[in-house]
Amino acid sequence: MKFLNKIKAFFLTDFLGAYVLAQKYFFRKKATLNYPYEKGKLSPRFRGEHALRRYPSGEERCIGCKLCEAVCPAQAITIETEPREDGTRRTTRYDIDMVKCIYCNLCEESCPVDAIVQGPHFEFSTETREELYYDKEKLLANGDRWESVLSANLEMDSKYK
Amino acid sequence: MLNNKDKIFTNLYGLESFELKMAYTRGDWDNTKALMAKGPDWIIDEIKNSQLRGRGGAGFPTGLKWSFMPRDSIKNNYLVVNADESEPGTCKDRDMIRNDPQKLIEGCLLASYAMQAHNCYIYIRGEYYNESVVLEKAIAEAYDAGLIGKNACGSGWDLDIYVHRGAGAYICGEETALLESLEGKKGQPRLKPPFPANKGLYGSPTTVNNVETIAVIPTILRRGASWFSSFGREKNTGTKVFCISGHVNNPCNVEEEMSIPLKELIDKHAGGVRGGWDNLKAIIPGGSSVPMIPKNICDDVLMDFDSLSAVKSGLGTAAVIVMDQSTDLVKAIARIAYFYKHESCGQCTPCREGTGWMWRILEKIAAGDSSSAEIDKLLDVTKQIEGHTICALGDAAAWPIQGLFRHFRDEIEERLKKGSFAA
Amino acid sequence: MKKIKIDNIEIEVDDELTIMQACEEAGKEIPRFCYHDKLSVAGNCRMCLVEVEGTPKPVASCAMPINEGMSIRTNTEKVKKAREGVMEFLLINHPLDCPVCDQGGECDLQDQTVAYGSGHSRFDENKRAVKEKHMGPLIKTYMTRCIHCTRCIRFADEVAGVNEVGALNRGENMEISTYLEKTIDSELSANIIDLCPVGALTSKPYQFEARPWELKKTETIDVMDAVGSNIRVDTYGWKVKRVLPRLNEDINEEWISDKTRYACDGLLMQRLDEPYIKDNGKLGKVEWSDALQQVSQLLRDYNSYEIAFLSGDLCDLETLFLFKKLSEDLNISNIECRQEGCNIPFTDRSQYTFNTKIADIEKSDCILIVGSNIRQEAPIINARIRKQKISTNLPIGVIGAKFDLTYEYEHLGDELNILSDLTKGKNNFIKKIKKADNPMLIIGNSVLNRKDSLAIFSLVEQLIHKHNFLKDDWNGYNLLQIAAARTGALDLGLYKKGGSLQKIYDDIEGDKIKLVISLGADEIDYEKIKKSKIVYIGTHGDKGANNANIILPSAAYTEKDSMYVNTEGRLQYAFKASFPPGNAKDDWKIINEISNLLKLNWEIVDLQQLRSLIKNQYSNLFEFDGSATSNYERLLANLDPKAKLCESSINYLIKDFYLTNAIARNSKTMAECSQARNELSAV
Repeated sequence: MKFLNKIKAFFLTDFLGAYVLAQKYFFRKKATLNYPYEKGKLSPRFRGEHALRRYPSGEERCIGCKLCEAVCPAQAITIETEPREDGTRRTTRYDIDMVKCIYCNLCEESCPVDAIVQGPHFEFSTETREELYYDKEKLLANGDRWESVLSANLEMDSKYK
Repeated sequence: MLNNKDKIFTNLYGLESFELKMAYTRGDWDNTKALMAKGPDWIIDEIKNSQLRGRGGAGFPTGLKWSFMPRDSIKNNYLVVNADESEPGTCKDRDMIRNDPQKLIEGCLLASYAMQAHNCYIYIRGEYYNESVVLEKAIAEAYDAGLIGKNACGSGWDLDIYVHRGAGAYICGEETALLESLEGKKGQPRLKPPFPANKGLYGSPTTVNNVETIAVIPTILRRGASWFSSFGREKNTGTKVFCISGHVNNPCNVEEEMSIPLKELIDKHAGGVRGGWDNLKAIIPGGSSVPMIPKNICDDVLMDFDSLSAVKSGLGTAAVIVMDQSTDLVKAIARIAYFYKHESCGQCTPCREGTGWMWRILEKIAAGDSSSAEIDKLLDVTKQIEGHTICALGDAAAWPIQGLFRHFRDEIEERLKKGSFAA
Repeated sequence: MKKIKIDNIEIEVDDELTIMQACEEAGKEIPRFCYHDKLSVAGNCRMCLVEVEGTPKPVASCAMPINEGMSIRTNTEKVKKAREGVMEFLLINHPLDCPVCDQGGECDLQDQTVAYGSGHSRFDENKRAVKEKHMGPLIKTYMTRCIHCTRCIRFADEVAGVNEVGALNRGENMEISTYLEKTIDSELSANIIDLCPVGALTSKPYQFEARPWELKKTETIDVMDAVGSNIRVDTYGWKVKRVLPRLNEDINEEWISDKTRYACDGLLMQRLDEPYIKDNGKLGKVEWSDALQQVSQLLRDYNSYEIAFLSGDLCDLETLFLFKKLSEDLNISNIECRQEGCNIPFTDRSQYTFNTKIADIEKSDCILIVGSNIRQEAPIINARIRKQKISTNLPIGVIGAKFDLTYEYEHLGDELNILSDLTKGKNNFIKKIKKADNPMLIIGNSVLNRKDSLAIFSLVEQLIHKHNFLKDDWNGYNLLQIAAARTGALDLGLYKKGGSLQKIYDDIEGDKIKLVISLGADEIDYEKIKKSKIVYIGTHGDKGANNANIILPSAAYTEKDSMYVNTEGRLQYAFKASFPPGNAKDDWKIINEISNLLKLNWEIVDLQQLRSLIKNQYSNLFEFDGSATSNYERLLANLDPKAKLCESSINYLIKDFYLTNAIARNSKTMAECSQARNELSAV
């Protein structure tokens, strides 16, 4: 046995095997995606950037029940509520610290009116930390921008919920 | 079959006047003083021996009920007569009050004396305005003749009788709700215990009895307990006024002996079921609160408390509602359920919420928009109401529905499946 | 004691208990909605059903008294089904409001559904909806959520004494309402918000503000009146969101007055947060060191007889102690805590406290009230008197104006010479006092700030010594204080023998007093002291700050650890729930710093040390044991036979219940309540 190993070592068979393997894969089609020009497929349940949705009439969905704030494992959500001019319950402050957030989607699961959702967007890196502390304005704007995708995703998933 | 000579209510149909002078000719107020001279204990014993059971629906032995009253309480005892005849199908007390009121008044005196009460209240249903006018006249006549009031009938016992009119609530026929209404409060039943015999009207010992129960007292005492118990079966003795209505040829009130077979009662006195006995579908034997019985049970059941409860129904107030084959039973029971929803006082949760829910489900079944699972749900709801309420209205709402599905469930499910609901 | 079995465990309990109470003693929890131990038994929710062996139907445990040998089962299938059934019925018409309902998180219905409900709904019909009702500026109603437990009706009838809440209609159309859609006219009205097990009655000022799980709860003491109600202050950050009652059987049971509950939004308004000094008629912000320098300079500049110290209604005991110490060290004799102008020269504690403790009102069998509108001065004590009146129908006589006290009483008259009639035995009410074993007399501060107050006081003393008011185990003499700080201040001696507020006014008018240090004294008439220089130490921009030359901001009652003595003479500890805004400091620290600048060498460094100083000097304050003692030191030996009672009618101190102190005057809610009250009386 030891002798056979010595012959293998002499003729560099390991190196040869490795070289052949490398050449095999060199000429094969790669699995690598050419990001950012090619992107992977996302499920409708993908948990990305948060957004606050509205009803089709334009009324904001969030009623400030604070269930999302209570369930958030990272305590990333801060909410303050007040009666609005017309007497309904609405938030005056709805902040999500995207750095604390662990993107677990519990907030969306707990929301009784489907107000806070996680959309498919994940490319929102910033150059300063402060920009990642989303306030209500930013979240609502997100919601308006992404509404068509968000509602499509929610519909696709609704029969499993 | 009761002979005319054994009938207690000789003027049930109002062929003679209700006035005192005619009442005398019918045997009322005949030597009441002597009856009272025998003492309250004798009266209670006689009633116990006669095995008289309450005629208001529950059928509680009257002598036993009277014996609960304390004799030596520092508070006044009260007798309250329940003339709030609101049970659907029942109309016997009305005829007794407007045609033969002196029997009631004499009964009040004897009963009050037996339980050592100086005050008697007759709570009459607000809708019986004419009857209350007659009753007030009869009482005034009795006062004038010295039969009641100070030294009633010369016996040394003072008795005052007051008539109080209700305001249109079935729930005020329940004894504690009646007491609440009499005290001027909302007619909502009280919790029992404490029972009215301990804490009743104004916190004093009170007995509440039905009109018929009190009205038969003088005759029982005069003719003897053994005479009364000679009618009917053991523990279901005496005579009863049956109110027969519905699909019969001759709806009427008739006084008959207890334990008469139902078929005989209807055939002999009500002219038989419309279209013949075989046209019968179901009968509610004791007012809408008791479960119905289908034809095959009606063929041979006897009309008394025990034999009807043996077939999972009840004698109740003996208001016999006859329904023939043309009846849509589901609609009928839905209407009864609506009655209970309307009359619920709203105090306790099961009745307040449950009666409305049951009615709505029944309406859906009646319209054909339902399923077998819904029927199971409905029966479950009735079980959730039964026994969990403050008063018996909850039970009364649940029983008819249970009765309907106990006997006719297959038929109804067939209809639901077929989808045809031609009434 | 009766022996019963609960779930096959034998226990022995009191004779008079109901099944529910016996089960609680055995540690078995029984769910309920309508039962409340301070209200009468209704038995209408049917949630407390348990099985008693031998009875066919389950029984309502809240109403059924126990019998010897009873065997109770609380965990059988039948009981579980009954609970699930009742729960289902309650939920069929209950709206799906949990996310928007304020009661979420502290809701009895939520908790009991999770614990005893079936977990799914079978109701396919339409739910009913009920119109909202107007019950005033304090109570927001969502009557659709109501489960008709009738707790609010029973509270309004029995405890508050206003028969304004009731149930309309019958069956499933039953609605709870005030029918007339006006404010509930009671100082205790907001307690029905605590009682309501669901979110049907919620707090309007607190509407949508916070969830219970995110609030920090601090147990402290209330200072809106002198009762010293035990409260729990809920804060979110530094903001006080709401005030709730704590159970204390001896003082406030489970209730607090509306002012206690809602004046807290005044803590956020018009707060003094920086020291100010008035320069040429305009106030300018300064640093603490400058302000304190100026104050200590003033104290050095003026002679001690030219300076007056006035303390207010909301001051805590530690601050008052240091205030008094400062006045002693500076030889200042003009010190006064009695803002209402009381001029009785008290010599002993028993002369100015509520000697019959509040809980012992329930032992009394005759009450005479002189010159006090108890309903507004101390609503909690009034509720206790009402409780005793309902259960024993004791005779109550009132000398003074004929207010609606929520219970029946004999109005003896408006004039105070009725008091002298009573002393001479001429009035009929004296018979009732003579027959009583434990009579009580309650005198209010409204009659002790007049020219004839000494005469009135001596008449009262004569009366109580002639009859059964003072016995070995009973002291029926009570002076009802209105201000939280008053009893403590009197205990620490913040008044001059023979002095009064009126004398200070006169001295200022006569230019004898030139400097006034006002420690939160907002109830005095600043017009009368404007002549002198004023240093104001307080929390709000109220009357004091508006007239002051130097303003030193301090902390309010929720923002400091402090001690208060209530009208009974009971010392209670208050805890810090929040922190003062801006640069405001604890009051005692301000006075401590002034003393340091004046080189008085107190060497007090922290609160503990200060408290032990107080304990050393006034140990009797800490020895209150809650029992009645008959120690009453007589103030005036004999009535001066020539001392006459004035003819003037009683000038009651409280003009508007909702605006009695600086915090309440700055509260939006109190302003709304006051307006609602005025509208009611205008109707």
